[in-house]
Order: sequence, then structure tokens, then C-alpha cells
Amino acid sequence: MEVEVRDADWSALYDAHYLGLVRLAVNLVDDLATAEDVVQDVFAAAQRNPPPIEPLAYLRTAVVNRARSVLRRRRVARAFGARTTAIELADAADEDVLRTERRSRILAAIAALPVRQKEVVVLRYYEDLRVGEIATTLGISPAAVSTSLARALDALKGVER
Amino acid sequence: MSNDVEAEIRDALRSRALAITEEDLNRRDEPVRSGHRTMLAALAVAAVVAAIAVGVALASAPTHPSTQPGGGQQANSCSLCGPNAPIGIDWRLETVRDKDGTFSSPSPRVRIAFRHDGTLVADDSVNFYSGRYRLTPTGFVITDVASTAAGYAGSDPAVLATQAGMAAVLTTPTARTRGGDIVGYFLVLSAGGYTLTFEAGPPVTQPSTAQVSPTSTGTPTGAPPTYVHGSELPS
Repeated sequence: MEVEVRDADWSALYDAHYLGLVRLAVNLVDDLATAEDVVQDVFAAAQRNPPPIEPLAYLRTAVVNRARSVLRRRRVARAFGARTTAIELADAADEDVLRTERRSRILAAIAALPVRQKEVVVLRYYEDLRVGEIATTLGISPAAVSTSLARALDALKGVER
Repeated sequence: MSNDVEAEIRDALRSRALAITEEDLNRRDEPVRSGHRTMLAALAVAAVVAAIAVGVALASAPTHPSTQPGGGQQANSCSLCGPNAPIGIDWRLETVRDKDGTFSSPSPRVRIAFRHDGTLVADDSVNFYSGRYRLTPTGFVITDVASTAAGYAGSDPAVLATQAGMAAVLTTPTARTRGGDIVGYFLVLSAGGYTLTFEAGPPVTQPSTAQVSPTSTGTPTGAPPTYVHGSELPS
């Protein structure tokens, strides 16, 4: 009976958060197929244990960790993904080409950031987490988060308009 | 200026994410690890068999094998041998869970490796462990553990949980004789209220070219498990 309850909980979490976590992952790994693999892997590994008290925070941390592993294993694929994303976005909105190109340049610049800075940027500006929450998610100090964020913003300010 | 950049970053990230809809997903009914899914199925079956074997063995022999006649040496089978063995892989810590929550690894240095020659090494980012192991039908027996004696003055909960969890796994008798579970690329070790999930890393570097069967290596028969807490590593 206990196993059935656990399975049901993970199944509900899977249904509720799959899309949101894929959206988070795609901002970390830069392509949809890999993002889905990341989230699938996280759920496959997580469902062996009972859902934690704060499942979304747990899953978010797991997605970030899994995405980091992917990026570190496939640094070449990371750069390729950035170019692919730019192409997809450029085709997506013909009526506002300039804005789309601008977004593409920013996303490419984010993809080129060091992994830690990229994680901080995504958690801050996509997930809207506070510095303390980012620190908890990444398992680093708030000061380290602030430093990474400041460096990332300095780098991204250099993206030409 | 900074606000403009931040607004543009937010806009770019959200535009890309929100462009993904349910229709774009290749969602499966059940989460399955990506890649090597055929191997996963085989490993999952093996893991279930191993888990059943561990459960049966623990239920019938809850005491430490070293206190029983013959210790773990009398076994002819080995549930963690073969393709499901943790041997020869550098296991990198992914998460550590304790009563306060789940933390990601505080450092990529945190790892444990069971070498083919019967020795193991582990690093919790503060201290380094070495020892010996011997596979048994219920997992493995860890012996002759020694560690460095560095202290940690910080308060990072991830570091603290990792230190305590690694020490529990390597020094708790029930943990070091029970072994862990392997599913896919993950090795899960639990002891003392801590659960450490390791991800498979690269193959470990072999200290010598000699490859010895794990079932016949490790501590000499009859030698009691020992833990030398705080001692310096042997050179």
C-alpha cells in the first residue's frame, strides 16, 4: 500500500510539473530534446524515494544538477545548442525580427556563460527566485550567488544591440 | 541600464520557455531514463533481484556478517557482481538527503570508488577516506577504513550533510555490510538517516594492471571490520 501511495504522488507531480520543469531545463541545456531527457531522468531517479516535503524545490534542484552534468559532459553540444536556439527563434516571429534577433543574441550569450553563472541567471530571471532561494537550490552561499549574478550581468551587458 | 538588461534577459528566457507547449513534448506515460533504455530495463530487473536478495538476507541474518561463522565468505553467489556491480566506477555524489532536506553535492570532488583490487577511496570534500571492501551476497563489507582528520569550520548544510552521510555510510556496521542499490546510473547508499545518491562517473584509474575478482579480494578471511577514525591516511 505504501508503494502505491508513493507512486501516485510521483505520478501527480510528474503530470503537474513536467512541462514547467522542461521549460526550466531548456533554458539550461538549450534544446528541447535534451531538456526532456533531463526531466525524465530526474523523475526516473526521484520516484525511488518518497516525495520530499517541498517536491517542486527538490525537483528544481535535481533538474539543475542533471542539466549541469549534461553541460559538463557535452560542452561542444552546448555551443551547438545555442546556435540552434537562435535559428528557431529567428523563424518564430516574422513580424518582429529585430526583437527576435535581440532575444537570440541574449540567449546565445547566456548559453556561453560559465555553467554556474548560467544557472544563477536562469533561476533569477526565469524562475524569479530570490538570492537566498537560489543559494539553497544550488547549494552555495548567497554571496557566491550575488557574485555570479554580477559577473553574468557584466558579461550580458556587452551583448550588442 | 542594468534594469534594461535584466528585463531583456527575463524576456528572452521566458519567450523561449513559453514557446514550448504540451504539443511540443514527447512526454511518456511513465518517466524513463533517457538513453540506454534497453540497458536500464536489464539493470532494473537486476536491481529488483538484488533488492530481493538483500531483503531476504537481511531478514534472515540481521547481525553483522563478521560476527557470524565465516563472515560473508561462505557465499557462492554475489548479488552485486556482474553488470550491476558498483566496481570500477568513479561514483560522483549528486544529492545527499537527511532530516533537514535534500542538498546537491557541495563539490564535484565528492565521490566514492570501489576499485577492482579490493580497495576503495572516498572524498567528502573535507576529508579523504581509504579502505578495503569485500562483496558479499547482501552487498559489501567495508574494512580498514582510514581518513584524514581535517575539520570544517563553515556552516554550509550541504557540506555538513555530506560529511556526516559519508561517515555514516563508511562506518555504520549495518550500512557497510548491507551495500547499496543501483538503478541505471545511480548508486544509492543509506545509513544513519542519510541517503547519498551517486551518479556514475568515469571508470576509476586502476592502481595496478592486476585485475582480481571482487569476490576473492578485500580483507583477509576472518579479519574484523575496523574503522580508524581520525587517523592519517597510509602513505
